[in-house]
Amino acid sequence: MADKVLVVEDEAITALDLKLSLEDLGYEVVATVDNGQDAINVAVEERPDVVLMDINLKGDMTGIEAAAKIVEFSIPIVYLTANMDDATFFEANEEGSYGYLTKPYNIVKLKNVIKLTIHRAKIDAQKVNLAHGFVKK
Amino acid sequence: MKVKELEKGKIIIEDYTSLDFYSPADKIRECTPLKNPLLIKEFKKDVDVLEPVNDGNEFLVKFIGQINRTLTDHYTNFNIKNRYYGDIFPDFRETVYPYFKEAYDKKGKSTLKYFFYKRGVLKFIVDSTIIYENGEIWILYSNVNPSKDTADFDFDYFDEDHIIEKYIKSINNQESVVILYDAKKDTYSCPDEIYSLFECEKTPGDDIKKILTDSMFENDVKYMNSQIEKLAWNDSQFTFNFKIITPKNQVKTLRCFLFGIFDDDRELSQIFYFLKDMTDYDLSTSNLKELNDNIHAIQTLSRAAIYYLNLHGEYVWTSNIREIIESPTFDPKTDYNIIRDLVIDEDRYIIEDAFKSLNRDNPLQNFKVRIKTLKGNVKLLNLIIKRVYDGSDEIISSSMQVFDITKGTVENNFIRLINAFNAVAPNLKIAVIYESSKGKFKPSNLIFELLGIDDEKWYPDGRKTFYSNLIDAAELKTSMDKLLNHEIDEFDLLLKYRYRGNADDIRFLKIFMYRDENKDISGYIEDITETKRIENNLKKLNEDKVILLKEVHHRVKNNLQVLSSLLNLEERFYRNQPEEILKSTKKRLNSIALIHEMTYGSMNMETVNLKEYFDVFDRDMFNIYSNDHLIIDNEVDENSNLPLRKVTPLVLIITELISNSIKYAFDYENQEVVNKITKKISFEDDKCVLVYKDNGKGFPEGFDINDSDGLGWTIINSFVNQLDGKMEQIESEGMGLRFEFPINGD
Repeated sequence: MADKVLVVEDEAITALDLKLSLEDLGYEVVATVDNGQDAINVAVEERPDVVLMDINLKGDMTGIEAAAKIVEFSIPIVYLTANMDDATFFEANEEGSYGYLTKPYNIVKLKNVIKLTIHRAKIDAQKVNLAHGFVKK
Repeated sequence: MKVKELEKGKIIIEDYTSLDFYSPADKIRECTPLKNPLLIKEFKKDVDVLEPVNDGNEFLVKFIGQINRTLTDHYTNFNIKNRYYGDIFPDFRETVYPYFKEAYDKKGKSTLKYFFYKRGVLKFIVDSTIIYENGEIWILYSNVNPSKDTADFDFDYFDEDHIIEKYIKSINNQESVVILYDAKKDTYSCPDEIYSLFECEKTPGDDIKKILTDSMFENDVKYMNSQIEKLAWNDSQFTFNFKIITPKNQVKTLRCFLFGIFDDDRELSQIFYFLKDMTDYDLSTSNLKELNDNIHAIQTLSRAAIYYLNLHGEYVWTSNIREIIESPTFDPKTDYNIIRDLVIDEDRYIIEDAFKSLNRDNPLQNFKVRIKTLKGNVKLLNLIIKRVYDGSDEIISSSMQVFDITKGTVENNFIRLINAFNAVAPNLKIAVIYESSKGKFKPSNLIFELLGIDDEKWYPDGRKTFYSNLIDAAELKTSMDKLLNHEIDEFDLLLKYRYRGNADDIRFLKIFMYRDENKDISGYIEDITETKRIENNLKKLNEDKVILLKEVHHRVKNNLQVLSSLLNLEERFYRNQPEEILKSTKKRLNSIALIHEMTYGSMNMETVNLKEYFDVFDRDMFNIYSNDHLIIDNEVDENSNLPLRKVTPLVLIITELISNSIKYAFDYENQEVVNKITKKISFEDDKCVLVYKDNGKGFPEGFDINDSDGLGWTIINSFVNQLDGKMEQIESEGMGLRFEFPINGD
């Protein structure tokens, strides 16, 4: 079964492009949304394997604020943003991101970051399960 | 040693260091006591006073000045006072006696010039004037620097006729009132003019000191007393300005030149107070120099020390060396090398190099070094070493000036400066506050103007008003408590202040308080609102620029992403038509570039005027499609200013629509028909409405604009969604569409 990606991007053409590119790479794009609240709702409902998150979104919530809610459900975040200055980088990192891409994105980097993130998140989840004795070594 | 007369009025003394300069006299004789011996000692010029006896055949020494005193101390073991001058001065009869006799006989004066040689080299020249005055012979000496060409000597300068007269005149100067304090008897005396100056009645047994101090402000009395305490035999005068309030409630500004006289044991014996009324003193340009000189003098007194040759022919430090090296017991006579010794290791090479570089051609060195004081504090000093060389490169004199330029010290001295010159420089926007002996603070009058307090009383209302108008009074209170409890020695706060309690008139006050070496607390409040305002404006301007720059970068990269995504989409749809991709990309690139151009050109980064935009846009389009018999009609509201984030999708929608019309709508084979596109943009309430029409073929049968697989319509639909808008077909000759979307919002 294909890994699931949620695309959160307020620029419609970019969102459409990302959706098609990710589908080309073999992922299932569960939705493309343009605001933080929809992102949280879809993430909770669909439980994607990774969320590709823009930082500037429609509505009052920023991508970083939405991510803070989504990581509570152990869903990894990859940021996609036009500019990653130091302050934004540190703020984004505090919310447990797995990586980031800057615009305009490069398809090879997109592929690698998404793949690595899903892999690492699975290892992390396994560690948590081990620690809680849910699975055998 | 030989003394000989070269020609009339010129005496040569060969090898003046010879030990037989003075020969012992056989006995001490009685002579009349000298009048004003202490005043004579403080003369700017060197003086010997003799008493003529035996009808001017002999002269008894009553007082000896610095040159003779030095020579006596150095080369003989006895005091020459009360001995015959002829017994002690070699070749007196043959050389100088006729000049003494001439002055005595004429009851007038004669002049002489001495040339002092050492090993054949002229070392210095002394001019002397011999004056007969009230039964005494006065010999006034002036040193002349021999390194100057003799032709340049200003002989007139040394021929002053009335030096004594001038000096006495200065004491009785009509503009000044002199108070004389006798330190031995602890009594004050003064002329009656003091009563008119202080506007009080003369009554028998008046306490002069009380008349003076009662009229003065407490801080001024304190300052004056502290300066009097600092008086020393080698640092014996100072000038300061202060205000008095007379019993008739007149405020007067006085200048006091205070002059201490020390006896032979270097004990204070008398103090002269020269008081001058400066109330109507005009602080005009001509007087500014005097003010500057005084400021300079005070600055120098407070943070500089000088190593110099004093009136008694000795090299000494001025007393401030103690403050600089932080050693209250240091004897200024003992150690020439004290500064050199205290220089920290890292800076040692600087001072050593400076000393090495000194020579006749380069007699002055000015440099900065750090020293470690005797208390272990590091201070930054500016040193000036100056030497005078003679013709054979031997050092005649040497001096060193030491300025303590450590940051804190400069600030502390600034306060002293304000203390002294508050009265004469009211335009300074600074007020000083002092601790009174009652443990309360007494502000200068300027503070009330500065703080906008009408009733010029600090306790209790002025202080209360001050604290209530401070925005963060607690911060000041905490700092003051710490200072009073000796937890800290100084503080420097920047506080906001509601001027006259007005929340719209916020002033910035810099408050600096410190405890000085006398454990007194003083400080100042400075209104730096204007400086702060300029600083804040610059800061805001800078912050705005940074935000703007970030914003621009963000937009550029976002638009690059949109173009990149459009290319990706084109690649999918027109995989085998690279020309098509290039053509459409070029159009989109132009549309976006034009947005940047307009926002950059107008410096308005918030909105774009659609009328202006489409005027240029259509001209570009006409140029691109000029071969296609195409007319683009444009109807846009004049005041249609749309937020920038909405402009890019709108412009790209229109770009796609025009491309679509050109590609599919028009029949290019029919040359008779002019292909026409019209677009109308209007603002209705909070909505932007775009009506787009062409005169082409119209939509194919059954075509649904919301459900088309074509790339153009996919792009248009995406942008409509992004704008939270809607799109509908309308009546038209060819294709007709109506779009609407909210102007504001995301």
